Amino acid sequence: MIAIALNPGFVMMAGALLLLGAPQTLRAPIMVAAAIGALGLLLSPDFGRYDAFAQIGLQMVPLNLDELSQVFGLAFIGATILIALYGGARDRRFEDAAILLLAGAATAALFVGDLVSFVAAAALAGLAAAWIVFCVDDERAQRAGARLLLWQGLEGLLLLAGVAFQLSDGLRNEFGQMDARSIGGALFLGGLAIRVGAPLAHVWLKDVVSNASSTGATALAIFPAMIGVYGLARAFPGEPALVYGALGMIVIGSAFACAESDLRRAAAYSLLAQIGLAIAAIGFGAPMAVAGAAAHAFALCFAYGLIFMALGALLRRFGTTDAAGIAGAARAAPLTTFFLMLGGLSAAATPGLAGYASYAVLHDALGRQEWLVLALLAPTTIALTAAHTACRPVLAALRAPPVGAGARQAVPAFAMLLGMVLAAFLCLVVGLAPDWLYGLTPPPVRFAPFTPGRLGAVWALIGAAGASFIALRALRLTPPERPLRLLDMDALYRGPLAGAGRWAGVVLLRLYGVWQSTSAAFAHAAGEAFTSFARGGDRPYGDKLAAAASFAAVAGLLAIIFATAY
Amino acid sequence: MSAAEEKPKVRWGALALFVGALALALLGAALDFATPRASPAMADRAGAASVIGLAGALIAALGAWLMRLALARKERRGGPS
Repeated sequence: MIAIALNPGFVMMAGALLLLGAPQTLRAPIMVAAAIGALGLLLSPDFGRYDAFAQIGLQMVPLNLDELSQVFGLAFIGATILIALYGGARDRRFEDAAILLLAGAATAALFVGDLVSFVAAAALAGLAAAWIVFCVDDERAQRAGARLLLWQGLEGLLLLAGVAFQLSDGLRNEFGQMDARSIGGALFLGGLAIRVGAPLAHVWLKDVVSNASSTGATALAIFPAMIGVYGLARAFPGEPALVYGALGMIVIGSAFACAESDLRRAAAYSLLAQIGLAIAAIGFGAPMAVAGAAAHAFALCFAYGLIFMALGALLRRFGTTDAAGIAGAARAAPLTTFFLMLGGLSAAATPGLAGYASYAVLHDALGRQEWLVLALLAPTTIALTAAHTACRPVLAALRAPPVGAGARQAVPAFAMLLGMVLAAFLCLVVGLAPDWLYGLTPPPVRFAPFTPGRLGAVWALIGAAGASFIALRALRLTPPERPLRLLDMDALYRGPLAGAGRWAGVVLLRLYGVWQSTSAAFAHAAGEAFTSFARGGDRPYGDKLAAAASFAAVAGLLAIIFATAY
Repeated sequence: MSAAEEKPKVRWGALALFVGALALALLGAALDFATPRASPAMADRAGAASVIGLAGALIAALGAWLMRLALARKERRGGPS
């Protein structure tokens, strides 16, 4: 067998270019073919670094294949195939190209072996993500895309400055373990923190996901943040600062996921909390914890991919993903509701589904260290996920529809159902036979998740959380579902800060206007005075006073000249 | 079919979910208690897990109330900026 050493992401990026000129019927097959081609390139060569070359004095490595990049790469390629099938029925040329470009750039970022190439691939993925949001013909989406560009620009700046400091310290361009206590490492960590949605930078994910199309939101939920998780696992395993950031992500993500009325925004917050769990494990740094984090990222791609696909199908049918707006979905769209529940259960680590396979390893790894908070964090996050991501959307779908409300939109296209079926199948396959996933993690782990003790504890955890939440809902002890918008960090820069910026702009414009008018008046007055003086010189005898002044000036000038000359 | 006729079925759906979740919790507890362990860690036992689950649901409900009270803002006509 011939092994071709080429970065798998390049094939998908080339496919994205091809999509721009392809007819609608060929676009989904091209996306799938590009992903399968990338899969072939991922699996054919042995682990190692390929085709390194020097460019402007730096060692560039376009392909570096190891366990960590492989497990993330398989998740990305699988997700690309799912998204291609899911979005195959719609006719949106530029969005298809943007999605494949995002998937390709994200995959390329996984397999490059040097820092400069990683930053370039991550920046390209950021641009493609913004392009996906811009493809939605809506003013809110355009603004959300612009805000995403700002976040991505800040992140790219931090990453690039981090690499520059790293190189100026005499360190190599190789993408490996970095020191967060050096300036370069700290800046690089800051860039990756924005990418994963660390506290204070957590708003971009829910912002873009809630403004993108059904297919675009699925891609945006999977690829951009997971590049950050990969980068942290590669560069900062065992970094204690990650644990504190992850704690913040879990608390913020869970709190907002409980309270948000829009289910896509709630799912984005829930995803943040789950990513926080993986990052806490990376911060802990033990081999089993890092393996669990990689496995969890893998499982999250499919569990949350399924959730966002189901929510996208509801968006197509009901025109909204607000919890109050999907009442009656259980009857009108039973399959979609079932897939929504399956995705939620998978995210909540229900045994037999993908989330459990990774959660079991994470829970075991976090339980082995001395932090009681971390040991309790994993089950608490799962309990909250069971309540707000598994139970709440299904209860909202089970509510009676308002009187007179009918099906407002077309039923989900067959392609959408096909994508959801395949995602559900992958969740089941990973959940029921997780050994192959454990064999792919860095390092491979030998783990038995289906022991009676582990199963009993997780069943009790999820069952108690679900039953308690449903009972609380029945007793009306949970807030009623109604459309609302919660203030988050972005309210600061979209509200007071944006207002302050506008106010400062107006004040500066006015000051500039005052400066312009004052200088014009001054120049006019000076010109008038000079003109008047010049006219006086033209008519030396017209005015006695002017003539005397002119005579005195000339006499004084001559006196000075004679005095200095002799 | 009118909304009034649909109501009981909706309740049945939620009830089925509740019964399923409760059965899962009880099954987990039974399985856990039937499993002898050499050195049981408290956080891994079904009793502790059930308490965490109950606490999680309470946090989800209480947190939602508090978050909405503190952070909800009204929708303006024409949408947010």
